[in-house]
Amino acid sequence: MENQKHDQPAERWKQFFPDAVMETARVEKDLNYHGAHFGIRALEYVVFMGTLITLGLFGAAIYQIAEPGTGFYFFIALLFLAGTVVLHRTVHKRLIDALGTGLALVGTVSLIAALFSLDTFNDREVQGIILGVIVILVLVSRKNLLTILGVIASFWILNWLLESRDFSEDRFDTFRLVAMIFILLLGALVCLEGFIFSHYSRLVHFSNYLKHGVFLALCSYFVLDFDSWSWSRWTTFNSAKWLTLAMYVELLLFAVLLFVWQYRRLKREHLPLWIVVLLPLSLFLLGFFSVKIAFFLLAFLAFLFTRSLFGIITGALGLIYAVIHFYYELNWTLMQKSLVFIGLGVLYLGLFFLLNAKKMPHE
Amino acid sequence: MEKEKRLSRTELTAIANHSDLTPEQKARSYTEQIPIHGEEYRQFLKWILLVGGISLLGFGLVFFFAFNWRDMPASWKFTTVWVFLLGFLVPVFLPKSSQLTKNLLVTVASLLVGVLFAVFGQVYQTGAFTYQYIALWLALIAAWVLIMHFAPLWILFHLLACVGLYDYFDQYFAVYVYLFVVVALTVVWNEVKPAKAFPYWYLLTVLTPAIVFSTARTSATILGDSFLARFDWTEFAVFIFCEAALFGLALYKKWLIPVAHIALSLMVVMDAKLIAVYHDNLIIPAFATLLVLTVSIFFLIYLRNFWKNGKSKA
Repeated sequence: MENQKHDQPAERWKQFFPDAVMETARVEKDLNYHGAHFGIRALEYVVFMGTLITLGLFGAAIYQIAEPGTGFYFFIALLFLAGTVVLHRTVHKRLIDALGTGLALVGTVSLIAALFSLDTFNDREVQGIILGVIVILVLVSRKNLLTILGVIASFWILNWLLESRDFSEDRFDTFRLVAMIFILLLGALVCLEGFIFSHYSRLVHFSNYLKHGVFLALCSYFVLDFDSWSWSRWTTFNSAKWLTLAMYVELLLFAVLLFVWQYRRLKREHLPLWIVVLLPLSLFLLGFFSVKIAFFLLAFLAFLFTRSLFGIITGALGLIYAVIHFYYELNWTLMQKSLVFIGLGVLYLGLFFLLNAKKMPHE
Repeated sequence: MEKEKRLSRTELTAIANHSDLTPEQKARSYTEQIPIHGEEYRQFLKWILLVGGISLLGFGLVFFFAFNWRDMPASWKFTTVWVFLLGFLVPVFLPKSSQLTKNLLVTVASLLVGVLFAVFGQVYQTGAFTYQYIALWLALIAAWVLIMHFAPLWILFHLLACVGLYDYFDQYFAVYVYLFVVVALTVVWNEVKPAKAFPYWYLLTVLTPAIVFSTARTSATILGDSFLARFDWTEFAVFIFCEAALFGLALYKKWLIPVAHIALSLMVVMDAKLIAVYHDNLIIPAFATLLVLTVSIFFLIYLRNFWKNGKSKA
């Protein structure tokens, strides 16, 4: 189907850009590399998983036979990490990218083993070195899977690294701070997509991978429930609650920014302010009761606005999880939860009928 | 029509990278091609307000009655449950309801059957989350599932069936056999009734856990290090039969992802067997895996090249 769809691609592109001079062959080559062609994901999956299983078995077998020391681990780490960089920078094939990512993962694990076996670094120093290596690897490679996995790994390493510094008496306070920084990053990547496209179009794919990596890292944070708070119990208000409240305010500001941006874009299409700004904002206010719901709802709407299928599906699944999780939230009584849901349900059904009754200018 | 004409993000990026478009032209083309359009947004809002409104109201009322459950007389309790179910089912018969709305309403009603059991019956608090509860739930929604023929509703049904089977047998053998049978029946159904065929994503959703569970269970029984899993030749034969049947089916239907799943599954089971045979010595399994992986990748590349002009499913 994909092939049939692009039978006459050049003519189709010309319809959109009649005056542009295009290097059609290079455009097609780019599409062949980045496009979701028949079977490519199945092959990537086998190569990546197969690489991990095979290298894992070889690593374990060598350990059984020789019980190698620090030098061996360093050698393997250097070989695999350098191999990844060489493969990712010189060969632009999806299967080689998957192979390189598998090598990078095993190389990183070997580096961790090497650093720990030296007995000269403490946990925090090892975490710092690994974080640095991953960031360099992502920036140099800029490939799909490696970037996504690298960003997720960086998020968690950064969390453990900062937590071990004991900034605060409350556990996971630093996690909240890191999550807020990543939310800022995600918001920036979504809002600046158009700017990156027009001014730095060669970085569009990399910024997309970064966006998906940051989003998945935050998904893991919220799904693993590091954001739980006791917002309704004011008597024991502590820094964790302040930080979670700050996170909600941050999300709220992004929501306002996103919806106003959409209003400015869509007002030419005669969509009134209340539909584009007030309505999604009212929907978003549900997030006051659970910052998890707020995050997934905002992500879902942001990806919907920018038509990113991966984000829409993941955001929707996350939202379902967050609503189910809210049932088990002990800081709100069933009565409070029920009144919130009934109130919002009535509001939305009312708005639905209002929206149906109101004809748009072009109708 | 307008939606079909739009360029994908990948196409637009490739053109932007290899043409003489100015930053202003790129910005304009991005705004025209990528973000959601006004009419699409309006349609989406109508849909989300309807679904969101009904769901929030439904769950709000469930929470409300659950909170006051102890204080309500028995007749009220009985009436409440019926009001909920009828509230979701009656709109299905309204002539103006679209098929999607009907499907969604029945799916929410099917979900509510179990939720009502759990919340009002307080099953979860008494620790009685057993197969009887699931079986009753399944029996009550079975007719709706068959009549509506809606893929997400079928997935809910299979999910419940798997939980019930696991709860009853206390192991995954029955679960994965059930899932493989579902895959086989789905394929037969798609052949007999192509107009009402199940989508490919539905098959993958059923097939992937079938392969994961069967691989994990078979590897565990072969390695023999789990007190839950003892190796059994009959079970092993069933596993091989299921994988072989699925492999044949995937080749016939030109499905690459199931072939990839099976390749990895057989590799893992082979590793388990070799590790058991060579008494935890890993060097031979490592070389065997390398060999099998290489062959699998070349086989998959061959299949991909052979099929790619004639089939769209991956």
